[in-house]
Parts: sequence; structure tokens; C-alpha cells
Amino acid sequence: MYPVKVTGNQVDVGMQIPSVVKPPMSRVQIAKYAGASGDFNPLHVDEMYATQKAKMKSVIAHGMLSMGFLGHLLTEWVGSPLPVRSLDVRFQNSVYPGDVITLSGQVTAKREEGDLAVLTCQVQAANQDGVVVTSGVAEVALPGEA
Amino acid sequence: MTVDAELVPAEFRALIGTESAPGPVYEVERGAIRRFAEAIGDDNPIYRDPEAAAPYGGIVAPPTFFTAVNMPWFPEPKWTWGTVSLASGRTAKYERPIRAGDVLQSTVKLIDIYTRPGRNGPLVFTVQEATVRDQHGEIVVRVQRAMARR
Repeated sequence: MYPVKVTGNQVDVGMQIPSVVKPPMSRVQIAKYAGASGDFNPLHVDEMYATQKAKMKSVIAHGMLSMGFLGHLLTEWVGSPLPVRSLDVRFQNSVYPGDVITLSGQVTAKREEGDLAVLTCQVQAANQDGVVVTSGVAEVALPGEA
Repeated sequence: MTVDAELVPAEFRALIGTESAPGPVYEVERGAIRRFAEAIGDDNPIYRDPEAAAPYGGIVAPPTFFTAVNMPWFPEPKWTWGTVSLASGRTAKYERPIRAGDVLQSTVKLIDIYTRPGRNGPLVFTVQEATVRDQHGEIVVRVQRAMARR
């Protein structure tokens, strides 16, 4: 069995997942993410397209980048991607260069599956004004005890 | 689900329920995983250091790395209206994490198209599901992608 940072017996329904605060979003990070993910949608990499054709105030970060941040919230909490069973998100508001994104979450349900504890968690990414940019639900399966 | 017929090109509507041919084969490289982890700002050593990753069975990819795997998504139709098509959501269901060395191939099904009233006019949502399999034909992850046209 691989290492985990937390086990089922250490988690209760209602528990907060430790928050992660990201450094301010930048056009450089958006460019790095475009390269790493292969998504070169001009909304993210072409300021003229984003502002003049799509009528946005600037290029925006990929919705998938905020989902990546929510993945980070989970793996930081449990130690690795191995326990993550599902991640289901809606992209609600855009992320602009300069935005400071905080990832947070809460355990909303817990059930037993053999010697595993399967946790359902509400997760969200919000900006510096408290606006939720992306939110959703994750399922994580942890060993019941160490 | 309701579809406002004039809003969605007929050729695209006709594809609902169909499945694509398998997409290109994608080899999961350590460097791609490392660059992806760097781009999302996650310095967990299991994404880059074989020694740190050994207890986990070797280098793994972050949970959203599936997005780097080229999948044969149905392309956006030729919309005759609206300003922009935006990603509206993603759902990933994992059988296991993606790992360095995996050789992956996906098929995509066009699940549904539906219309909702939006703040400034109608929104048309398109939902597709990709099934990603490894070199043994085993499913690694299923990804549902929703796009919104406005």
C-alpha cells in the first residue's frame, strides 16, 4: 500500500481540507500551462483576440488550470493522486492575470468500502474578492486507518 | 434535454450518440508530467523524482494531466451566432492515475446538446465523454467535457 498523509479515521464529515493559496496568476503561467496542456485557445494566449473578438477584459486563464489547482488541493491533503477517484467541476467565472486564487474544500460525506473510507468533498477555487471561479465535487478513497 | 433547433447546426445535432474513431496514440513522458506539474505550481516530488515516486509505483501525473492527452473531441460546429465558445465544466472519473510510460488512446462520444437561457441570450451546452485506455486496453480515466456557446 502506498503512503497517504491522512487516513479515514482522521477525517470527519464537516472537516475543512487544508487551504492552498496560489501566487498571483500571470500571463507567463497561462503560457506555461498552454504549452504543458497543449491548449492554445487564443482566449488564453492572444490578447487582441481575447479583448477585441471575444470582448474580454484581457486574456483569461484556462478553466482547466483552476481544475488543476483543485487537483493540487486534494493531492496536497492526501499525499498523491492515487486516492483521488473523481473530480467534477464547473467553470463559473474567469481568472485574470493578477488574480490570487485560494483553493478550499470540505468533507461532506464519508462511507466505508471494505477497509477504505470513501470521502465526498465539496471543493472550490475563489479569487481575492471571494468570487468563486470554479467549484465542484471530488471523491477520495483512503485507508480506514494507518 | 431541450434543443432549440435553429441554434445548433443540423450536421452537429445528427452526431449526438455517435462515437469517434480512436484518437492518436499518446506516450506519457516524464518531461511532460514535470512541465505540467510546474505549470500548475505543484512541486510534489512524485511528479519528477523517481526515488520520491518509488513508494507510489513510479512517477505519476497530477490528476488533471489527462487534459494533455490528445483526445479526438468532436470539433466545435460552425456556429452561425454568438461570440464565443467556452469550456463550462469537466468531470474526471479515475480507474487509476496516469503514469510515466503509459501509452494511451481515447475514443470520444458526443453525449448531449441542450439549450438554457443565459444572462444575455441563449446558452447552448455540448457534452462529450472521452474514454482513455492504456496499452493493455484497460480504462485509465473517463472524462466528460461540457462546452457552452454564447
